[in-house]
Amino acid sequence: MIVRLLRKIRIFMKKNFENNSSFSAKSPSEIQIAKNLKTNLKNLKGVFGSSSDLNIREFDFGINNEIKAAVIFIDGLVEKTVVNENIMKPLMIEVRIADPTFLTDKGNLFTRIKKNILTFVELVEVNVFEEIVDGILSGETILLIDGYKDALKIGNRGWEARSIQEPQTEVVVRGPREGFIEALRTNTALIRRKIKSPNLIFESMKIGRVTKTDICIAYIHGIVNDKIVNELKIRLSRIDIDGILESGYIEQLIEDAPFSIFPTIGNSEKPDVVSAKLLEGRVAVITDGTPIVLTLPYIFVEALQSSEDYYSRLWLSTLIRWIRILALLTTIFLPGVYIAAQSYHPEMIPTALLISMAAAREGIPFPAFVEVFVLGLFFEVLREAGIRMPRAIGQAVSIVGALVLGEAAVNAGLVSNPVVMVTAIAGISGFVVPAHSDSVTIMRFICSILATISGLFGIMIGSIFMLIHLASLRSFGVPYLSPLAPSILSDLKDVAIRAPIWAMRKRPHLLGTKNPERLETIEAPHPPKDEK
Amino acid sequence: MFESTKISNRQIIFLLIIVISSTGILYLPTSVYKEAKHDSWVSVIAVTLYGIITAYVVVTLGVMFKDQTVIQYSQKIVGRTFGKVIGLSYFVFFIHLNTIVIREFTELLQGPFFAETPLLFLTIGIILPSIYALYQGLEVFARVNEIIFPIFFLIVIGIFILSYRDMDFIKLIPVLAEGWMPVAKAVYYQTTWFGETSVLLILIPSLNLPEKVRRSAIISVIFAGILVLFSNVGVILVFGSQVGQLTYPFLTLARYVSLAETFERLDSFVVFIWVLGVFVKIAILHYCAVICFTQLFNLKEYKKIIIPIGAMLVVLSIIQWSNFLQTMGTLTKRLVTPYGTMQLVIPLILLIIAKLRKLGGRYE
Repeated sequence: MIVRLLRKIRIFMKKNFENNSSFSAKSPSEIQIAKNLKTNLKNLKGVFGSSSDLNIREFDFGINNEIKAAVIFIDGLVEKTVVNENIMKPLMIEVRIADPTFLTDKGNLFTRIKKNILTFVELVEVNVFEEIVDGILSGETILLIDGYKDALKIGNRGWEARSIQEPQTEVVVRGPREGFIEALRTNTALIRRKIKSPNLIFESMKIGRVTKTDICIAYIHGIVNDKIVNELKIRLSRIDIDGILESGYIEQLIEDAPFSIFPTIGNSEKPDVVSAKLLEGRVAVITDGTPIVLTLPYIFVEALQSSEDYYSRLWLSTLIRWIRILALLTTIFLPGVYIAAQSYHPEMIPTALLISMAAAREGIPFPAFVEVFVLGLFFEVLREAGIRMPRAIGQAVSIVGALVLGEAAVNAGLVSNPVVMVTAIAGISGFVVPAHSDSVTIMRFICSILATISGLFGIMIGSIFMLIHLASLRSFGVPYLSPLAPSILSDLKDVAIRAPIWAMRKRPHLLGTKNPERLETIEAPHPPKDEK
Repeated sequence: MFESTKISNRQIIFLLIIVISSTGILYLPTSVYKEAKHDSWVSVIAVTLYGIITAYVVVTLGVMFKDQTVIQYSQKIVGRTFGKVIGLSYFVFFIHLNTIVIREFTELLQGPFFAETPLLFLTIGIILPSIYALYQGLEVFARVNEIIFPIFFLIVIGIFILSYRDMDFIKLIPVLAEGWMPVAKAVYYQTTWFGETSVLLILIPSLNLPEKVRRSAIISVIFAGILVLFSNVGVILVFGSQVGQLTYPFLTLARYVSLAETFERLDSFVVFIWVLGVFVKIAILHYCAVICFTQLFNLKEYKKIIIPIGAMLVVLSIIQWSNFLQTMGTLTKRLVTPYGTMQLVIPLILLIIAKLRKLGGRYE
């Protein structure tokens, strides 16, 4: 219904703002590079205006200083020593010392510079003006020579980047510590270092009319389902936006269910996680400028799996899986069930517990749902403050929060002890499954409201609605609740339990991978047979 | 992956089991016990056989016309006018059966838990998810059931196992002391539930492998029979001759169970889990009624009449009876024969005529 409404609004907007839609950043038209250096530089200045970071250095070289040239680059995006040592110094000085006549012949001057003087791996000859501008903007150095209709695009990018660190969001006890950084190339290299196969493909594209952000699709050819890759490319090509500043923009522009509270595209900050997903037949979208890499298709149970499950041995991993499921249920239902039991179904509570709960509630002026709501809201406020505030104040806030919410409120007789416990348990359980931590928060509040209206009946009706919604979701064609519903028995080995690595012979069936075999044979490791 | 919007055989098995047993477990033990006493387990086995026969007839008929529902092929078999009459009677049947299911269950909720809540609120509460589910389509709905079914199944089996301490197998002796008559009567009352595979008359065109549905239908009837048998035997073993006085013996059994001496009175918990199972049944019958109506009046889209039929179900389930006893009376006394006609007799007649007129495809 909301979708339909929004579509109408969109059509309306289109009608009214048709004239404005042609607005885009000033882009140079498809013109060739002029022979005259002066014209080219004038055009460049026209495009860039008075930007102070554009660096144009004009110089002369040749036996009589008769050849005019210019290097153009953006300050801060290139390695300046390389420009000095490997472009200007050879042309202006070293050629003269070695062989002054080397550059006299105008006919082969350009090729000689390209082939014999400039020592760069990335060196492209371009003749379209727009390519020069793009090159400059993405951190390349341009060498223009007077009298030639071609320019040389030299790849000597070099800018300040964060070093590879341990990610703050996905901390592991056992497993690799490295995390992605903001530079696209470093990120692809981190993946390539894990998967040394020519079948690992990185496909690049630029998205964003103004920002021209580099995007990279990664998948393993021969494992991935081509339908998913094609669908992803179609969706990415449909994006027409001025800027992509984080992978979240892309996520929201290509996801299947934009109005759902559940994410249908996953993300990770760790190369090992992304590599594992690629090996299962998923696709990754790496965005320049952010360490968060998107993975898709994304299904519900992926949130219950953590990379560490596979690195540690199976018994604990299986136990932890179940604890995560329990925590997920707790964080959604506990406050609601507490309200329902208090206000509608006191007979459900064992007598001894009921008496102690009643004693705790003695003298509390509010009904149970007011207590739960207010405390729940405060928990969210504390959480948000904890994320945003400067580190230095953090301790003070947490102490005050704990004191006010815990001790003082109970002592003052404003809230009862059980509610403090319920809120705290529900809140903390919500962080056990980080990928769903925002959706469970919303569900927790909805559940509390339904419990207030009609007790457990309301909770059950709400759960049915939630189940139907979850079952109707798809992520790039894969049902969101699979392998639970539709049930795929062979895939349950990695959901309810974490089967031993040697027993997980097949890749997930639900992704429809072309090459389902992960291991050659199922054989448990064992000591040599003849050893006694 | 990327499967069609049809439902698989495993999904239809789960659906049929829930359709038969979700209400069967709640209401059958009492009325059966009143007739057959401690021989009711014999009657459950007998009625399972009846259920298998019904399933066989319905599926054989349905697979002969595997792209059509009963509304469409009955017009081919017995002509347009009679076919329309049969179609209309199936529409009425699904609506009426559904109103009974809804009323029974809302009464169950209202009785012990929401004594002051109006019936209308509970009825609307349970019809809303059904409407939402039908809007999302049968396939989504079958997937939801794949989550609900294991929960439901574990609860039934769990309660049976946990009550083992109070069981007394002497209560099943003597077998057939009063002859076959009481058992036959008990079977008669239960046919309504075990004939509910008749939803396949509408659902077969939505299956992705209609050829294999005969096996699935029979498996699900047997499975549902086992679940009903467990609940029947469980309550008799524990309560003996008191079963006749209990309204919901299985819930009383759940109340009797105690888990680690801390979690007692599980019945309220069980009732609310039961909302899931009954929701599935209501939604399936709702879907059947909607499809009946759509095809009866040659509508293009079924989504437009989901809400009107939902509203009709709400109203009818409330105004038809004034209390719970009346509802149960209708179900177990007056309606058994008409329902049996819809579930077994009409499909059988259609099957015979179709065979005689050599209509439809062959069943491999």
